[in-house]
Amino acid sequence: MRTQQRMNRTGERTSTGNMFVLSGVFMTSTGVAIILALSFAGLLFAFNRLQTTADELAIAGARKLNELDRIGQMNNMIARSRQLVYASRHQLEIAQTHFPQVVELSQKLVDEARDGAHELDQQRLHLRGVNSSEVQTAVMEKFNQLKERHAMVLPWIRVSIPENPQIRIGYIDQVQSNVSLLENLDELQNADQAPAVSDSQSKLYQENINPKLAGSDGDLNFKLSSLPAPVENTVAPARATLAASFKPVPNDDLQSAVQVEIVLQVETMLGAAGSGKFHSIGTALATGANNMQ
Amino acid sequence: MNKVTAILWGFAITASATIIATIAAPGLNQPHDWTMELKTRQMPLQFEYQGSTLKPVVKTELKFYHVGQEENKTLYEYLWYANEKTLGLERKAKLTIAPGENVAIIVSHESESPPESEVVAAAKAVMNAVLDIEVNQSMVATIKVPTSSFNTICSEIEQYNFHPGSSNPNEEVNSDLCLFVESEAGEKKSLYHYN
Repeated sequence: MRTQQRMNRTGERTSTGNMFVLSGVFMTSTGVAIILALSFAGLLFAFNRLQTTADELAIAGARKLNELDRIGQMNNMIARSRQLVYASRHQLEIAQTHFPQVVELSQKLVDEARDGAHELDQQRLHLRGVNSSEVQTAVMEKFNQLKERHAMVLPWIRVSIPENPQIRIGYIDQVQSNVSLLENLDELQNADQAPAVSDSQSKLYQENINPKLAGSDGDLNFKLSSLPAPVENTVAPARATLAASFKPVPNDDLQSAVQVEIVLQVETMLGAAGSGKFHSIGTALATGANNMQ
Repeated sequence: MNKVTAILWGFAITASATIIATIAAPGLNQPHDWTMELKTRQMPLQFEYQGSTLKPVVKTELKFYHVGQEENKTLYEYLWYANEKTLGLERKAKLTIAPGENVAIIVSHESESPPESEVVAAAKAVMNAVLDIEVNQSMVATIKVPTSSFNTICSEIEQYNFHPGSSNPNEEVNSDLCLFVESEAGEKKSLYHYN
């Protein structure tokens, strides 16, 4: 078989070739591909790390919300305050009809029950403010611990420290209150079985409701907030959850979830310079309630 | 002289018997059909947050049973208090005491030296129990309290328009509701009339 050989114009064989060039081109191409791949991997790494940070910040904030079961206790006591006001008013109505000699005593007990309900509502609002403040502090403390780990400078890519996070406090959709349906006050129990007030399957009061009493005590608030109930004796830990399920609390209800959004500036210097921002959202639900003590 | 002495002795014995009967008449020794136990305890780690006014929390547990059937106690309700405010109620059963029957209320505390807030909570819970018993058309025969809590509970009862009864047995009392409070050892007793 004849080997084809390169011939010059005079018909003589040449000793030069193009393997060096080809090798050079190939190696250059390979190098660029590797650099592109590393850049892409770096960007992916930076994004994943940003998401992890967002989740950690959200969980750090969510843990503060129901610290020492304060929301769970507040929900449970508000429900029991409602029972107390109802029972006291019921006793007064009976006394007014059948036992006039104890009407004054009965009225005083109604007044005490109402005072207790007012105090609880005031403290609920105060707790809401405490929660907001402590969540902000906890998230920023955690952010300051973690932010430095994002910075990365390579010849072809630069990742900055994230901007300060946006913090939102709300609740997770379709998470009911932690309070089990209270019984043994017949009329009240019957009224509480309405779907707007309690869930027939879980026997829990609905989330973010204000089941006011009828009549003279209709001015009192008994606001119950969303919070995971215990399952037998197991308390649900604070955990990350889907961002889409986060909602702002209506009115002035207590909050039980935190959402954190952080932004990261990224610049590339490969070829044409470019820059952009990564956004990550972390969402977490507060620690669940304990059983009523 | 012997006649005079005999007359004097007779008078002394009769008077003593009358006095003893008068003092002992309302009390735990009086017949009562039911006992209602009221027990208080402190609840630590409740409402622990900055600026909380809802602590310390005191929980009271009320159980009732027919005399002679201590093994069949019925848990009636729980009541919660904090800083002398009544916070909540959880009714656990209906009060199944027949109208016309007498009830003795016995107060106890979980700790041997309860703080004042716990004793005040006990007094308030007693008032709730008294009203429930009265509206049930039953009667409170006596209220027995720990000796160390006697003065505080009596003081709190007076805040509810109960007034100490006169020691003069001949004095007419115009009241539909009387409460007899005694200490657990019986050394302190007070009778209150509601006005």
